[in-house]
Parts: sequence; C-alpha cells; structure tokens
Amino acid sequence: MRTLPVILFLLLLLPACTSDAPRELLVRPYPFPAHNPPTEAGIALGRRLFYDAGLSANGKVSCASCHQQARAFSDGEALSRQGLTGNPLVRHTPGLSHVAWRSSLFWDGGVCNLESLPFAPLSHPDEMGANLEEVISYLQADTAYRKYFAAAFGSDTVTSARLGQALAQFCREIYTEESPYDRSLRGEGSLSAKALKGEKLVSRHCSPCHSGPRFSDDGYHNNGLEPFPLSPGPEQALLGRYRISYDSADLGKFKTPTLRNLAFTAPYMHDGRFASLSEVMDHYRFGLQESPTLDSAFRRKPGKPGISLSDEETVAVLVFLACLNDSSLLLDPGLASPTE
Amino acid sequence: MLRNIAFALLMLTVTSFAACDADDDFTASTITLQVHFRFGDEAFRTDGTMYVNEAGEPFTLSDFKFYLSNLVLEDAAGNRVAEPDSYHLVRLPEDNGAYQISIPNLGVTEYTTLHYSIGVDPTANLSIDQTGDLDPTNQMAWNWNTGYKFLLAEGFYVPAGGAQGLVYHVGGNDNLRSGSIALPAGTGLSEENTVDLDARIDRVFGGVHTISFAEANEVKGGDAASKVADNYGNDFLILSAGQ
Repeated sequence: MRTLPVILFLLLLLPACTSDAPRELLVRPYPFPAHNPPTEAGIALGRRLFYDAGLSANGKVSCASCHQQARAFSDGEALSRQGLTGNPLVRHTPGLSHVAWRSSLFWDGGVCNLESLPFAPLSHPDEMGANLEEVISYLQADTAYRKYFAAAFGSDTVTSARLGQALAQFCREIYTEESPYDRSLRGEGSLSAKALKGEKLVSRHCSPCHSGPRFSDDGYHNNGLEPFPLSPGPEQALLGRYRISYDSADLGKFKTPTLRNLAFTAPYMHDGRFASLSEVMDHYRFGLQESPTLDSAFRRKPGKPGISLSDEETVAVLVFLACLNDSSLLLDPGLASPTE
Repeated sequence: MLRNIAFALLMLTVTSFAACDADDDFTASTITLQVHFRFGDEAFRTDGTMYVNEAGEPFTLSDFKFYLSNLVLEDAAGNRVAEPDSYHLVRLPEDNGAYQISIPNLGVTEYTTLHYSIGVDPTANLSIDQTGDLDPTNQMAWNWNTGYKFLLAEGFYVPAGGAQGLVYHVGGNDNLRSGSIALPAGTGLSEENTVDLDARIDRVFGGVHTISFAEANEVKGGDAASKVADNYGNDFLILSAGQ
C-alpha cells in the first residue's frame, strides 16, 4: 500500500528522465545565479558560441575578436576597432579574468549579470551588429548547435535566454590561480623581498579601491583622469557611473578593474589612454586632475591630490603587480577556441 | 491511501460528468482584457497621424508599447487570483484593433477589481535572459543598463525649426507603477468575459506632469522618465466608457 505513492511519483519522473540528458552540476568556487548553474554541457555550448563569428552580421566578428585569450581576453587596443564597422568603440575592452566575481559589468556597471551581457555586444552596430532574431534562427537551423542546446538545457529549442546563459557559463570559467602571488598564498613558492614590499605599498595606497583577492572593490571611483565639466561622449558613455545612476556624485566614476594579468591587458583605463604601467604610476603620482567627485583616497595635506610614492617604491609596486600575472590563463586549453 | 485515491478519482469522474451533462454549465471562466489605444476622444494610430500634447507640441509616434504586468483579479470577498508569469507587452496590433490578454481557468465568481502594474517588477527586471514577452528579441530589453523599457514611445515632434526625433524609453525599478480598476458587474460569471480598457496615450505626456518635447526629446532615464512614470501611473489605463 505504501509503495503506491512511490510508484506514482516514479512514473511522474520517468518522462523527464528519458527526454532530458543528464546534467551534472559542477562544483565551482565562483558565484553564479541559481537559475543558471554551471554544467559541462552548458560551458561547452558557451565556449562554442564565444568563438563563433557566425553570430555577427557579417560572419567575421566573434566575442573572441575583442576578448582574445592571448591577451587575457582583452584586445590590446585603446579603443577597439575589431568590430563589424571597424569604427573605434567608445570605451576600452576590459579583460575577462575572474569576471564571474564581478557584481556588475561594463565600465559603468550598467549590466547586472553575465546572462544579460551578451545582448549588448551582439546587437551593437560597431561590435557584432547582429539582429537577435536572426542569431536565434541561425542557431536553431544548425544540427550541431541543436545537439549542444539539448545537452545543455534538456531541449533543443534555441532561445535568447539560453544563449545568454550558456555564454555566461563559459565566461565564468575564465580564471586561473597559478600566478606567483597565488602560488605563494598556497605555500608553493615565495615572493621576493621587493615584491613583498610592493605588496605592502599596494595594500596601503591602492587597496581603498583595488582590494580583496581579485584586487577590486567592484565599486566606482573617479581617479582623476579628467577635469570637469566632462565631455559626455556618445550616449553619455564617458560620464561614468552617472550614466546609470543619474546621480551627479557619480560623474566621472568608473568601475575598479582587477590588477590581475595587467601584463597582458595594456593599455589601461576606461579609454585605454595609458599604454604602459609606468604611465599609470606617473598619473597616480603626478597627474591627477582635480574635480568635485575625485576619490578622497587621493587627498593629501598639504598639496595636490595623488599617491605619495618614491621612485624606489614605485618599482616595488610594479614588481608586485608582475606577481599577479598568470600566463596559464593564456594557455588553458579549456578556454581556447573549440575548433583549434 | 488507495481508498482515498479511488475516492478522488470517483469525485473527478462525477464532476466531469456533471459538466458534460448540462450544455450551459461550466466550471471555469476566462476573462479577456481588450486594450484599446486612445488619444483623447480618438483612436490612437502609429500611421503618421499627428497629435498635440498637453504642452501644445504637434507630434506623431511610429511605435508605442508598454508592459502590463502582475495582473491580479479580486472578488467581492477579497480573494485574489494572480495570473502566473504575468508579463504582457501591450502594443498596437497590425489591424489597429485592441490588444487582447486572455486569462483562462479562473474560478466562476464575480471579480470586482483588476490590480495591475505598468512596467516589470524588480525581480523580473534583474536579468534579461528570459522568454515570452520578456524575451530580448522583443527589443524592450536594455542591454547597456540591465532591465526592461517599461514603456517605449518613438516618433518625432515638429517644433518651428523642423521635425525632431522623439525617443522616450522609460524603465528602472523606481518607475514601476501599480494601479487597480473596478470591473463591470458580473465579470467572471460567464464562461467568456470581456473587459474593455483604454490605454490613453495622451496621458503619458500629460496629467500629473506636462511633458515638453522641446525640453526633452530623448529620454532614457532621469527626471523626465520619472515624470512620464507618474503620468502612466495616474489614469493612463482605465475602463472604457459605456461598460
């Protein structure tokens, strides 16, 4: 008698078990939304999509055009011309290392999650220039893609939601922890005395913004690149967080980027204005522009705002930053194009 | 346990038979909302027809749509039925008729009030990887500022110097507005029930705040968007006259 409900319950499960491919959830250290847990099949689909130029309007631009593995998933240009039209984009392409830990995306934090992000570069006329409906049709018409979608989501129906979810799953995989710094944390090596000095200086002078294991507070700051009034740029994209918040206190504030993999992600800043880390250090030491929203961390009494570092200390900082470079990210075969 | 299941099956059978026996009997009702696009006393069109806003500016819209969401029906006793997955992108049909929303499988009772929101609630507005009327292919998802345009009005207005583009994209959690409408007597007591509603486009640009296109003709947030939200939150959607 007691077995009857159990049998009924199993009968209910049966169709689900036979039609759905088994989806084993992966254990990962990064955060992800409950509705889109990482799976092998989801990541594999996302990787395929990430490297597929067929998603773009002219069949020549993929996510990887601007997010190149060899450059820690950035593109080396101040303002990228890798897109459909070749027109320079308005802001600098950020690297994607450890992007899973970011609580918001884009230089102004306008995008709330990786699932929502792909629709921006896909549809931007200067990036991939795609019509989303055509992208869905293209994927739905492809036998191999249908199999990948079925494996990842339990049915071969292609939707824009699933497209975003698969790409998000792949992008969250873009991280490695084999830098000299990571290895030293695990006791697998030690940093030089100069690097350790640099670490202390970074902790003292840079950690108001570049804090935590990813060396970013995920916040928005004005680091003194421009005097006010700011030139808004196309679609107010150069106004910083203000573009999203409409709060004048956010004018000129941009997202704190990570300090990991800087050797591979030059040039620097939201507009890629600094070609080298030496230029960046010069800016913080000597070049800060006063403005009403300049971050208070730069205030010095007496004198102009900036970071007080000697030449020798500056070298120590650069030596430490070099310990955050992780070339294994550039070589990880799981992050490379699936066709290579 | 088996006995309980057998009893339940028997009851189900009896109930089904009862429904089949009498042709005029039914066990569920459907309420269909018919949203008519209006501008003042006229039908609203996106065919180049010129209108004049409260600020006295002539304009025309080539596209106008909005999200009507979280529909809840309430009966006289205060019982509430929420439509599941209740997100409707209301737009003018090609035949310029009414936009229809059918809510099936309702209990047969008299519903006195319709509760609704204009926009998308904060939970659904958090991420755009969604399907149905929230699918980003509907062009209502913002990809640079995650969330949905709650209301979209595009066209041009004609100041003295010549036509100027008009883009009003209003979204953001602060601009979600909710309201309720008293339903005509007897709604929900028939198998098929129709409720006619007017979406009053003139009220988007007037009513609470007089919107001047000369002051803002491209709006994607900020104060101007909040003013539009106050407007669509105040008698933008009403029961059509004569019901």
